[in-house]
Amino acid sequence: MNTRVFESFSDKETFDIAFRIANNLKAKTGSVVVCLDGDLGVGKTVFAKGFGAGLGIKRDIVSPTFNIVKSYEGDKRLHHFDVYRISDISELDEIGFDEFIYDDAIVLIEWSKLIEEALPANIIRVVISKDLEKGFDYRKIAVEGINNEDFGN
Amino acid sequence: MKKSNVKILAIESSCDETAAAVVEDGRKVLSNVISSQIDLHTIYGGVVPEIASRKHIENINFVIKDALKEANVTFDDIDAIAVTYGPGLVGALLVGVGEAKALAYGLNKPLIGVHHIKGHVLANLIEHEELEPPFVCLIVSGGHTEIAIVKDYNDFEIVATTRDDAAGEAFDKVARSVGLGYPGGPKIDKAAKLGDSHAIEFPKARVNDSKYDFSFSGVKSAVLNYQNKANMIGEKINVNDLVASFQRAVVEVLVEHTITVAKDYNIKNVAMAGGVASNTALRSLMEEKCSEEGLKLHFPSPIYCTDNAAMIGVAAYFEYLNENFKDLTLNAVPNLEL
Repeated sequence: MNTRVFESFSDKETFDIAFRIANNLKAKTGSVVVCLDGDLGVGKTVFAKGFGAGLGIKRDIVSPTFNIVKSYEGDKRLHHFDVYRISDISELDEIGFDEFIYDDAIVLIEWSKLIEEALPANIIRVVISKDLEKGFDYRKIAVEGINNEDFGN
Repeated sequence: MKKSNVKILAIESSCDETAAAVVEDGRKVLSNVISSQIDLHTIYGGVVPEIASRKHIENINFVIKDALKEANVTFDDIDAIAVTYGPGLVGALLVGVGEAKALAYGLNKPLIGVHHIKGHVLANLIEHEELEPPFVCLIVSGGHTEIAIVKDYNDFEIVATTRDDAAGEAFDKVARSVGLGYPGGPKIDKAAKLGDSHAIEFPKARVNDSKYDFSFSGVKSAVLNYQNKANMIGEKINVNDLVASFQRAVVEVLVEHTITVAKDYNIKNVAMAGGVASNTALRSLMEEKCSEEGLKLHFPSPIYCTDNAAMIGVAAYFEYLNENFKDLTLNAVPNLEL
């Protein structure tokens, strides 16, 4: 599986990169699971906002941390998870995790590393990281699991 | 339908707390039981998982029993069963909703569904007999940041909301990043008292295209970047100054927007609700600004700021007066709108 790396130097660029990825995923049928990982403050919120906009969602994408999952209707449905508060994998059963990840929807999961064993086999991984040598606003956005043609360019 | 001496048994299980309460006529709390206050270890032994709805199932009957006992009433004295049906965690909400439906059916009592945030707002009525709509209420917790205009007991309008994180969530994340631990709100509140809130100038938690809305993600990231920069050049951070400055950036905007709403809508009473309403910096700045503007400020004791069932019993009373009852098809609605 190839990894494609994007570079961002601002929130706006991160938003646009996420928008483009989502926009090219929304035509897919069935369930698409996208894992979004990166340290606190790296820009996962901005990425999620761009991602939601790219799916044609009109509402603001707000933090799902408290509720663990928030769902939105767009050109394709989005289930936005933040599993940071999950302390034991069995808790996923109790919130009906399987029903979400096999829904005809895009499932964006923040802090997915915490629930690695519960993830399906075919997933797209997005990892955002900083490189302070390239500046404080620089972000490397590595996307693994998407075919090049899915980017539509 | 009687209007006075109405006793409502209320159940709340929208997040981590399992709670039950008996409330009379919407303002008098006869009992208010929250599971985290009971020593669960003596009942079951062992560790209780944090989010599991299993925990709610294990707790709920004990909590209801305690609430009845503390209120010195039996099921026969209860006029209606009320429950939070959203917003919240679906698995957690379902436990309360299922329990309430079973009680309403088994005891043949009316069933009332309550919006969690409405409960938080109306918690202000418990200790403020004189407070009546209209009033402006700032709702700040781990999951919510909103300004509501309470036009009547059953008529709320949300005029401001957060575009990203909730205020309490920003407190938790910043506390975690500086190693203060959980829960972040009280830890930062305490540390900030020892720091200089003007030591660092962080961006304010507002947005450009709205007069009232909030955004906390930017100020949170600014705090983390500040730490990164300091670490890179090997500068030691004064944690107290850092969190005091962060807290000021958040609190000032919460207060400013609340006051602006009150002035714009020409409303003289201001209230606060939710866990973060216990923050001492928020309370004192809100008091100062309200008194400058000639506004009267109300806020609940910490026990009614946190998730509790008494507030649900308060809100339910006004639904009871309108005979706004639910049937047994009532379901949990995790994204319930106000």
